[in-house]
Amino acid sequence: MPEVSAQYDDIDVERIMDEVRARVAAQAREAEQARLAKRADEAERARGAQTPADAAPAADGRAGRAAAVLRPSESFAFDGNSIYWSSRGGVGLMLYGVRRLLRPLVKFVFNVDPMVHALVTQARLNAQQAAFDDEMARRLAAREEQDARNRRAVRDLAGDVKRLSAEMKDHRTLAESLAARLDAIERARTGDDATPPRGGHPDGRAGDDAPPAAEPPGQSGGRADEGADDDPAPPPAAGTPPPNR
Amino acid sequence: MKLAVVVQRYGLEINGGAELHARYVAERLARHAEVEVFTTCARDYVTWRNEYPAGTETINGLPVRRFPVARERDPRDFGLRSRRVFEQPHSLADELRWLSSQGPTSPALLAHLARHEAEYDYCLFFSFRYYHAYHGIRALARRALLVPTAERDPAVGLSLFGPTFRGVRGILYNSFEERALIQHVQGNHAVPGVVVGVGSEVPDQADAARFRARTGIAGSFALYVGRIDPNKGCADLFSHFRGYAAEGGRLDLVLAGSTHIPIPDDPRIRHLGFISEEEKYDALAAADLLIMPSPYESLSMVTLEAWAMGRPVLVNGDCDVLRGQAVRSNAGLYYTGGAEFAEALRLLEGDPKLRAGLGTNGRRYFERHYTWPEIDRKYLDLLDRLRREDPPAGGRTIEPMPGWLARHRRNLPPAAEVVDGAPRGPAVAPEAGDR
Repeated sequence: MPEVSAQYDDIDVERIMDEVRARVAAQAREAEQARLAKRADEAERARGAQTPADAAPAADGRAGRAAAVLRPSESFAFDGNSIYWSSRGGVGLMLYGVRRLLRPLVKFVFNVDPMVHALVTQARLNAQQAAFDDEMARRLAAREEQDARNRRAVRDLAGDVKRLSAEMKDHRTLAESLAARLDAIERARTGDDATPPRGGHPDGRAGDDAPPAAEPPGQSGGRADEGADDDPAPPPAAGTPPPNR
Repeated sequence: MKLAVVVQRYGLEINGGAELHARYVAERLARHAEVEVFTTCARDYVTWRNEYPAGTETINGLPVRRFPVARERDPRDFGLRSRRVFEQPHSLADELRWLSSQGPTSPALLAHLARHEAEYDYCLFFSFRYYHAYHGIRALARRALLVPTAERDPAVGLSLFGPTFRGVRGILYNSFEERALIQHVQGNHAVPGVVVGVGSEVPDQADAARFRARTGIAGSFALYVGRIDPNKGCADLFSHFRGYAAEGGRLDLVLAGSTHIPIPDDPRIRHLGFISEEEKYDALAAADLLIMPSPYESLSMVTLEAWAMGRPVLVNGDCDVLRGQAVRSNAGLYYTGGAEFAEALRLLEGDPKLRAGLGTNGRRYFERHYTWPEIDRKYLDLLDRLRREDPPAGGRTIEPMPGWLARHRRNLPPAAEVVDGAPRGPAVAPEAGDR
């Protein structure tokens, strides 16, 4: 982080403030990065702690909450006759008839038709909204379940990659060990125990007049057992160019 | 030359910025002209309650004539009217009612000025936003000079002040930022104006040891002097300072002034209460720096006094005036949030040479622009210029008040919007010779 410096004989407040602001911005960036890293750690821990068994109820809970938020708190049924109905059985029927009969009188005092129309429309809109909310809640729940499955799949994949990586490392070690054994067997077969180290000099440096040494199997980029199975011919002796393959 | 100084309050006990400014200027101008002060009987700027007796008294050799305030301010009514004119579309009649509600309403003062107008060459009105200045300038426009003491607050954007700013003979601004704001909002470029400010009587013998002995403060500290009030940015100051202290800052905070909010119970914050002028300069001599957290200042005399004492300042960068002064003088740093406050304070705390350099710049800046001879010269130059330019029949006339229908038409924008539309930041490149 740059240190704020000030020239005392020729102080420029704006320059000092630029440096102060740069330091503050750098501190803010560091703090933000630390905060994000902490949040990522916490999220990772939370995911690690959550088993597939408890993920499903959590998803159900979230879907239920979504449905509760989206569902209209109150709804009602309403049609053109609702304002005349009564719930009092036979008396109610009589009341209904009287009210219908007196409807022209009521309409003389004030016109209820626009209000009835508005309420009928509102009831229809409420029903539509409720259906829409149910569909949204269902989709949200499905989405939550899918998300939980995706998270599990990603976690499983991460585990598989880790495992495969470890296995690959084991295989590489095994291949190197097999190559070394093969090399020893080949040397024993040719009886050439005095083969100099690679490069021709005892100290390992390549001599100016020394031909390139044959590359041991396993270091050529092919499979470790490739040379042993496909090329039964002995490796060329020092000074002999290798055959073309 | 005979001058009338008209100000909302006046007295030795009154330490408010504009009122103290008015007293200093009146006493200085009395060396060059015959000066009479006109004011109200109010002492409290919130209620305008009549506390001084009406009539004439002499203060520091100047005749001071007091007039009663007709009614005290109703804070609730004033709050409602302020909200209407600052935040909603409104009419000129609404603004006039706001002005009347704000006060100090003193018809007797205005009637006296109107009757005796011819006795004075010029009338110097302080603080544009008050009743006495608005109506006084309308009555005596031909002789009126204005010291607006305007901050970046919505009142500057009220339409009723347009004729005031455009109709006076001359304006004595406190800062370049104040002038830029008023000229942008009210379009008064044609009115003769000069950036003056105010001087201070800095004692030769301020004594840091005397302050430390009296208060028992031994360590290094940052000083705040003034009203301890949220409007002065003190709540933010406490919050910023505690953040700085929590991160290992070594300076303490010392507060001097009357308090209007609770002070945090923190061993690093020390409140001295109200202090005398001598104690103030002793405190400045002992302090490492002065902090000025106010977001609304038209000048800040204590900042100039700190510079006069060779002390650097740390000011609120949201206040255009303070930031402009700090940048022009190269004598202080500024902040626009808690993080910048802490960083700037840490820088000042850890670098004595930087503090000394800023303080030296401050002292030079004060000596160049704010010594009393310099202030006197600017006032007298403007008065001479106006006298030379005066036409035989008198000076300019003020725009007439619109008719009843025009006054009641709700076609004026919210004043806060008007001010928000003005450019922000320090005024750059003031004209040569203006400083």
